[in-house]
Amino acid sequence: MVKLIGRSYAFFKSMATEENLKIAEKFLSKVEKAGEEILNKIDGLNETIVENTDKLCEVLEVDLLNMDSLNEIFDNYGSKKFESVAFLKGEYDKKRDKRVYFIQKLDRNKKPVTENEILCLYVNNIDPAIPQWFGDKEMVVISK
Amino acid sequence: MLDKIRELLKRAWDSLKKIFTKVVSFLQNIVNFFKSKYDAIIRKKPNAKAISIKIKEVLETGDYNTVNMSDFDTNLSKDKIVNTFYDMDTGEILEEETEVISYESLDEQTKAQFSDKDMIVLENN
Repeated sequence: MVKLIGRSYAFFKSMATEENLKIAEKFLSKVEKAGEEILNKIDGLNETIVENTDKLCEVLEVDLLNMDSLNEIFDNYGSKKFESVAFLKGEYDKKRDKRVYFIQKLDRNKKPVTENEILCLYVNNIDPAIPQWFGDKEMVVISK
Repeated sequence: MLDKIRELLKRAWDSLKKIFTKVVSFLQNIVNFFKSKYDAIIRKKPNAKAISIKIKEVLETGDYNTVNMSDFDTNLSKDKIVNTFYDMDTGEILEEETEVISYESLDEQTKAQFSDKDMIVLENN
C-alpha cells in the first residue's frame, strides 16, 4: 500500500485526473509503438552483424601431437558427443614454423556435431605415424 | 485510480526494459564483430566456416582415409623406431624417406647399439 503525504500528495491528486490519465495512456501507447519500431530495427541490425561476424577456429598450440595428445584434445575441446572426427591437413605455417591441422567432430551421419565448430592445431612435433595416416590424402576420418 | 497509474508505470517500465535489453545485446554483437576481426588479423585465427566447407567437400567426395580410434591404444603399447635421412647441406630431415617401425622387443645387437641413447646416427662416408 502506497501512502502519499504532504505537498506531493496534493500535487499528485491534482494531476491524477481521468483526463490526464487518458493523455498519459495515449502518450505511452505512442512511446510503445515507437519502441517496437526501434526494437525491430535493432533486431535487423543484430542479424546483419551476426551474419557478418566470422566464426573463427579455436586455436590450440600443441608441442607434440601423438595419439595421447589427440585423445586429450578430443576429450577436452569441442562437442562431447561425437562418433568420428574429421582431421584435415592445413598448409604449413612458414612464419610460425609449425604444421597446421584442423579438427571437426562429426555425428554418425558424418555431419558436423556443431556447425562451424573447428579446432585449429599448431603443431611443433608430430608422431611420425600420424602423417602416414594421410598417405596421399589431405584428410583422415578418425572413427570411435 | 492507483491501479490504473500502477499499470501505466508497469507498461512504461516493461517498454524501457525491452529496449535496454536489445541495446545491450546489440552492443555485445558489435563488440563480438570487432573482436572476431581482431582475432582473425592479429592472432591469425582461421575462419571456421571456410574450413567447415572444405571438410564437407572432402567428406562428400569420399577422398579421405580412415583410422580407428581403438587402434590408438594398440599403437601406443608398441615402441617405435624411426628411420630417416638427414641432409647435412640443407639441415633438413627428408620426411618422404622416413619410415616408422613398431616393435614389441628389440634384438640384443640393436639394443647394444642404442645403449642408453635414443638415437643412432649412421654416417655416409
